[in-house]
Amino acid sequence: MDSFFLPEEKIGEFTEHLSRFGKVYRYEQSSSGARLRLLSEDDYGKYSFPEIRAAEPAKFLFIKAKRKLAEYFDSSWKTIAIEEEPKVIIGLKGCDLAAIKIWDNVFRDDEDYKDPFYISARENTLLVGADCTSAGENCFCNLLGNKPFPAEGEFDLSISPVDGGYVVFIGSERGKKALDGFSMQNASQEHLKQIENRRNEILKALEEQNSKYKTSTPYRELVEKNPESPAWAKHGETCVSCAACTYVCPTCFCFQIYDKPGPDGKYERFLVLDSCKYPRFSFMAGGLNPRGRLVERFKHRYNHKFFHYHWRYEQYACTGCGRCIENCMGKIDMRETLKDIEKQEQSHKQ
Amino acid sequence: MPEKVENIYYPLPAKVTEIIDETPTIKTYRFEMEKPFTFRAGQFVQLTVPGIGEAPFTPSSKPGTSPELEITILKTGRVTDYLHEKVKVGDTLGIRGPFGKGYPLEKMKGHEVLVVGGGVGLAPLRSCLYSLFENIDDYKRVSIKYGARTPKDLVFTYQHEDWAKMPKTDLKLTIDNPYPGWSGTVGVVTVLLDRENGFDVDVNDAYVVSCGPEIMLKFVTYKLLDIGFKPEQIYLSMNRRMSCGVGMCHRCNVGPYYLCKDGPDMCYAKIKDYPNVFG
Repeated sequence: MDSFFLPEEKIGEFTEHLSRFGKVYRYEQSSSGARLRLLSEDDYGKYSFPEIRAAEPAKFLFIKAKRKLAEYFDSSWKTIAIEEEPKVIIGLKGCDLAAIKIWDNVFRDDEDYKDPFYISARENTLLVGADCTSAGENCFCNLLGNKPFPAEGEFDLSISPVDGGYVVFIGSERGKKALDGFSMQNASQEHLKQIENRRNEILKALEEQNSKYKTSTPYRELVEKNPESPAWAKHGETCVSCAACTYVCPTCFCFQIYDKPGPDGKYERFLVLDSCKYPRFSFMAGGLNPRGRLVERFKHRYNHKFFHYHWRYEQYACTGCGRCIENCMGKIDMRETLKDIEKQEQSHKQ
Repeated sequence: MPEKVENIYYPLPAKVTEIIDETPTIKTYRFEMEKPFTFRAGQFVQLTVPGIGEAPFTPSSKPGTSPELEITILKTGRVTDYLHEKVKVGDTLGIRGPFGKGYPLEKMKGHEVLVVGGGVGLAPLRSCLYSLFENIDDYKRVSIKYGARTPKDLVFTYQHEDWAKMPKTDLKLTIDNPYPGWSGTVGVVTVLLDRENGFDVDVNDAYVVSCGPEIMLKFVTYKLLDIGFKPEQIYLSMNRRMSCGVGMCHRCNVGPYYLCKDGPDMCYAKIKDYPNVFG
């Protein structure tokens, strides 16, 4: 992979150059933690590199919390042009990049149906990844097979801090093109070594902090085979159905469609993100609700991520970012729930 | 020019050309689309009541290709309440679809077919019956067992006689409780699966398709298993809340199956071990 050295003082120029592709969003460290910001030109040169992923996932730039799907009956909405305002997202960590494939499977790569709005956003976004420079206390990407740095094939460009600046990796043709005309020197062996060492250190730290949560049975099997485990009720006990976990989750995209009267005698159709944590998520006309009980809804999120999604796409719909742990007012830790299911299973077998 | 992609969320206009009162709470709506519409028996559509919302229904009319389409609807929620109370002949509603897999008609060829319906559940089954009748030579026999709460709640009564007259076909009805003037079988639909009520379907050779409320599907399934059917022979029209219809909103699952993509008719063998199959 091609790699170049970007001196600290040139970050403004670098960002300015990328802004030719589109509006620039950048993850930045702030007093309230890492945040995703839409930059104005004046901000390009002021960059505070966040150590770990931010509070906000990037999903809202691809799957909006609310978006208009159609005006009907207006046949100009029958087809949708693949055009969205181009944008650049700088600073996507490994866990956030891993989420994109999980959306792609559903909204872009399905054989039968394509979501034109998602595809528009996806095609017109330049993905700039970034290394993590520490392991967050709730991070568990290593347990899901992800890495604290951008994985090959998942980004257009990526940046990794080194002494005196950053190393920029070229991950795709599109990434390379976005940097056309921006001159940088090749990264030195020392720079690359520095990156490799840091990556190994962080991986080691993640291994250490998550070793107690490691299960010997794969998550799919644990969740699929143990629908009646007492661990569900035990760990779901403090859930209050607030849906914070699904809101901050980079891969929770369950939505619903709603319609309302619009202007000029037309009607409007919207997509709004929903949450399986809400009591009426599965509520049907006629009153039946297969997941009316809180514990069923609690279980459903794990089922969706580790069993149903995996059954269909052979990968987990969880990237190990740990945002759900960080934001849970009931202090529910997904790693503990999964570990406990295994413990209960083992004690049951004995 | 940027590439254009079909908007899977856009409903095509469908004009209401006739409304048939089936029962006090069930109506059949006949629609005319601008262009011919094609669906297989058991596939469903998302019906839009403009400005109010969408709900999934399996058409009750003859499968194939036609600009005309019929949907038989029970008044039971926000969208269907509005439909029953406000929608008139001449109004334009919307249709997306068809979605889903439909009934396993090919698989059933050369076998007996047992059709078990409850209440408005006979609606999707009627489209299945149209397909069966069209190729009746391909099937050994068609047995229809249909139950409703009272004689007034039976749908398509104006067609029952024609069905019963079809070759290799029999139709048995039941109502839940005794009712003045009703001399037929009384009891929930499972009583029609009792030998003493004339049940003579070959349990080793028949496929079953069933549609009705969840509670009925549950007891029909248990009864079928009881009298010797295997889970592989039973196909159930499952009910789950659905929104997109295209496998994206991820809510209409039974186990790992999404009813919109993998159903809505599910072979019981596939779903039987998952929790909350019957709600």
